[in-house]
Amino acid sequence: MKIGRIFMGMSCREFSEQASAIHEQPTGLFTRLRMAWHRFFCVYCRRLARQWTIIREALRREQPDVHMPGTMREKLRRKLGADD
Amino acid sequence: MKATDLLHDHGDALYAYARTRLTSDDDIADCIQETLLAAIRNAETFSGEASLRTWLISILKFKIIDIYRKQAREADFDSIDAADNDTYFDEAGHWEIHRAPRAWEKSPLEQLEQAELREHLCRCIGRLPKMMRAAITLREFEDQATPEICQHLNVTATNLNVILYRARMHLRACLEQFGFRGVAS
Repeated sequence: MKIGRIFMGMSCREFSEQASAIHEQPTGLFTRLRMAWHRFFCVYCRRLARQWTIIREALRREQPDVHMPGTMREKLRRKLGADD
Repeated sequence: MKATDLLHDHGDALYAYARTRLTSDDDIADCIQETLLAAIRNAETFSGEASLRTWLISILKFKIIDIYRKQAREADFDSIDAADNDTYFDEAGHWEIHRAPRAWEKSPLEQLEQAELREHLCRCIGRLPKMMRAAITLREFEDQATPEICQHLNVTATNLNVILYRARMHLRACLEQFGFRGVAS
């Protein structure tokens, strides 16, 4: 396993941790090179990184048209009406 | 300006904003109510530089952060750490084969209407423990920086990184549970 990790540059667990941390703070060149090396060989980690990007982009998109449920609107209208 | 008029004109926009950030209908309704009442109380501070809706949403944002703060106080980091069993990797740190990311044959963005994908993601965010939910929402929806989020949730930057990492792992896995399963290659 040790040989595998040396060959792969890092474990999949470490790759996933670094792939998340990279969104939060700058990562050193050496770590980025190790990640690139690992990513080249590991299909699962390639998928993880790509899927996280898809999720991130989807979360940051504009919200679709959503309407307040009628029951909530009516409840709020009654409560606020009493305060008006 | 009357609160009921604001509800009529801006209720849907406030609801859409709150719904992606809170999971409980009661919390959403309370936040909207408090927002509208705060707007009425502080109407003289509305300068008119931004639109009324933008101003209302900025008030709502603070009300939502108050809820996150409250939730963060209830769920400390240590309890998350203990409750969150890491089952994605084996002892050597390699993917457990049944938890490894599957190929998404199509990108979910193509496979589903974007609104539907967001719906699934919001549902998955709702399943996260409170601290993770608050952290990922502040990070991804609000685009807040680490120091701000740490201040709101009263956690260190290191702990925040761990919380966000686990939230991302769970979100991706949850999305696959909703049907984004391709064939493992």
